[in-house]
This record gives sequence, C-alpha cells and structure tokens, in this order.
Amino acid sequence: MSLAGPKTVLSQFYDKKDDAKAFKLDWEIKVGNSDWLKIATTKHTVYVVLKDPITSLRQESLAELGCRNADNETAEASARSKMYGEFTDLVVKRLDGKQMTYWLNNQMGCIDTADLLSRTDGNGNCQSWSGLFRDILRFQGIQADRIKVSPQGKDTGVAVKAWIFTEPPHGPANHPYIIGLDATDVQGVPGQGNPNPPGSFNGHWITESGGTYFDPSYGAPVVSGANKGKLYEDSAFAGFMEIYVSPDDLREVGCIRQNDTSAQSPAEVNYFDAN
Amino acid sequence: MKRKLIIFTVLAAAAFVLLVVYISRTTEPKNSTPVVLNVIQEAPKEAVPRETLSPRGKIEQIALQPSPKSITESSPMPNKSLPKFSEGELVKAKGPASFIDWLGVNEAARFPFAQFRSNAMRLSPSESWKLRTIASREEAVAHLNLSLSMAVKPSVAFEDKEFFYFSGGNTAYPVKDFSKGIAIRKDTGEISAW
Repeated sequence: MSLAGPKTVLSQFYDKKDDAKAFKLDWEIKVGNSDWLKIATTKHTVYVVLKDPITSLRQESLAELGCRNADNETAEASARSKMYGEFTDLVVKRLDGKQMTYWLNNQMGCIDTADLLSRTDGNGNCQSWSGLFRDILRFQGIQADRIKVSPQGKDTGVAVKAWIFTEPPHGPANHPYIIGLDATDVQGVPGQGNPNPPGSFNGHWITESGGTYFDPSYGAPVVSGANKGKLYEDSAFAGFMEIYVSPDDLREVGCIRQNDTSAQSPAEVNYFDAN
Repeated sequence: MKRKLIIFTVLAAAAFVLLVVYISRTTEPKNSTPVVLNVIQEAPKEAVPRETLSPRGKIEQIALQPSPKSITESSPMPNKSLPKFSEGELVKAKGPASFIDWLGVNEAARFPFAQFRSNAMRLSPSESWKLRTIASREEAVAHLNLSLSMAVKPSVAFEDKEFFYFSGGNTAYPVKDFSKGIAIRKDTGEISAW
C-alpha cells in the first residue's frame, strides 16, 4: 500500500473558514498493482511568512497573529502596521482561544512572550506584551526590539494616564502632587483585556520597529520621527513620581510632578534598547 | 433582735462581695488590648530619611499590628487619612530606591520560604539575559528594579544562603506578609515569582 500527496499548494492564510485558501492534501491509495484511488482530501494551515524568522520561538500563535492580520501583505511597513492592528482593540487571543491580559486583577503575571502564549491565565506585564509584538514581527523576519522607558533624574516612577490633579498641591516642590491627596488615579487608558490597569510603574516597556514606537500593552497610537520620544511620553504619561516620607508619621508617600507637555520641554524619560 | 442581726450580717456580706468584685474589675489587666510597639512616636518630628530608622524596630511594629486581618494591604495608594501638609513642613525625599526592611533570621522564621521556593515559577529570561551572580542586597534590589516593570516595589525582604526573597513586587498593591513575592537566585540572578 502506498500513500501520496500533496497535490496543490496555496500560499494565502487559511483561517479554517474559507476553503479556497486551505492548504490541501489529496490522499490516494494503491493496493498491489491496482491504480491509485483517491480516498480523501485534508485541509491544513500553512503560514507563509514575509522573510525568514529571526526569533527562535516557534509557538504557532506567533505565526497566526502575524499572518492572519497581514494576509497578502508583501511590504514590511504595511505588514507591520497591519499586525499592530491586532493590538488596538485590546482583544488579543491565542490559538487556543484564550484572551491574553495586561496586569489583570493587579497581578503582574509573566514577563516574556513564551510565557504569555503558554500560561494558563494568559496574564502578563508590559515586558511580555512588548515582547509579544516584537516576536510576532521577528517571526516574519522583521527587525524589532523592546525599549525600556525609565524615569530619569529625581524621578523613580512613571504615572500612566489618566490622573486627576487638584490645586493647590501640598507636596514638595519637585513633586508637588501627593498621591491620594492632590493626585488621583482614575480610570483612564485601558490595557489589553483590562479596563483599568495600575496607574504607575517603576518603568515601562514598549516595542520599536522601523523607527516607530509601539505600545502593545495599551494598543496605543504609534509615534515615529526624530521627536518620537517626546511624542510618546506626552501621549502616555500624566506625570513622574518619587517616594517621600511624611514628617508626621514617617509613612512613605508617593508624590507626582505633572508631565511638561509643552513643545520646548525636553524628553523627561530615558529610552534603552532592551532587546 | 437576732433577726435584725442576721439581716445586717447578710447585707454586710453582700456589700463586701460587691466591693471585692468592683475592686477586682478595676484592677485586672486589659488583655483585649494588644501591645503595640509604637516606634513612630519616638521618631523626631522633623522630616527624616527613612534610612535613619532602625529596620528592626519597624519590623517589630509590623509583627504587632493589632488588626486581626492580614497585614497585606489592599490598595497601592495612601489611605484617605493623609495629613494635611502645609508649606514649610513638607516631606523630605528619602532617595531613589524604595526602602526595604530586611528581616533577621528570627523574624523570618514565621514565613515558609521553602514553600515559597517550591511554588515559585521562573520568570523566563529574555533571549539576551545573561546569568550572573548577585552578591549583595544592594545588587539584588538594583537587579529587581532593572529587570522587572513593577507597579509597587517590595518593602520587606529576606536573604538566605541561596536566595533573596522579596515580599510583593509582582502585584499592584503592597504585600508585607510574603503571600506573593519574588525570589532571586544568588548564583545565577534568575528571578522567580510565587
């Protein structure tokens, strides 16, 4: 007995709905000296990537998220843009149907792509989300890196939008708005699968590719150009934090200075290539 | 006459008993009020960097919290009873890193660190993460701050021969009882969380 196949190859992404796009295998059987008899046709998904992958990760969801969104794209820039579109509605699902989340229930979760795609709860922090988009791009052979956004100078944290600041503030000159008194974290920018993620961090991780910053954790609009650092921080951060000590009871108190979004203000955070 | 004497005696005895009961109630110790080591009251009134406090004193205060609830707090924000700061008596910055109370061996004995280790899941390193020795507490804190995006930094920690353990750091609220936390292997710098 012999089996033979395949007979046809289609290069379009097959989402298991449109049979015309399926990669089909025609199976035939030959018994002894008889003629070949067709016995079945099976349908499969074949991921045709833009270029050779530049990541060692091989989790199928990486291929699926990239190929489904950038189906039929042949140029790097448009493919990248289409793939980021997956993140902008804040619903990103793995192949097993699990929607992945960002800091769900105030839990950090995992910090990298492989775990985000395999953890039972599908929950991760910004490191994992920036890593996921980076690795979707790398799977398509597109160069991408994570960027660590760190506070600088006397700041030790970033306050992610949205916060409400009340006047007059009561804190120290460098960080006048006392959290809980003058500064209130309100429901603002939603994150992946989480309508109200935590409002402050010791730093934040985003993705850079093709000279553009992407923030997959929030599906935020992209920024590019020579001034992209300034553009990014003004779009993302309400302010910058430091921890102080109350003179009355030596309690730690978080204080914020508002982000200076004026055009003449320099970049107020540092951007490091974190691979 | 004899009846009056008996009645008087009974009344006198009853009064004596009541007196004894009253005295005993007013002098017995109030066991229901827990002892709280109030190190804060001994602190100077002017703004003082947290580093000048005795870490041990602070930990003892935590251990004797009167609340029957978990000492894990539920909100990352200061509570609403913040004092009304006025200009001139503003708080003073204490430094770039959040203060961490390092537990002594006796203080840490109530926490099952072996169980934390067995429950911990390694936070997978990135492809470029180079393993390296983490020798000191300062290095461990710096390693944590550089390696993880955290919403609330840990404020309590413990060190044994193989690991640094941090209470919290993987939640968006303070954790002081190690119910959630992060461990760093000293020989490789690998970070795990439970």
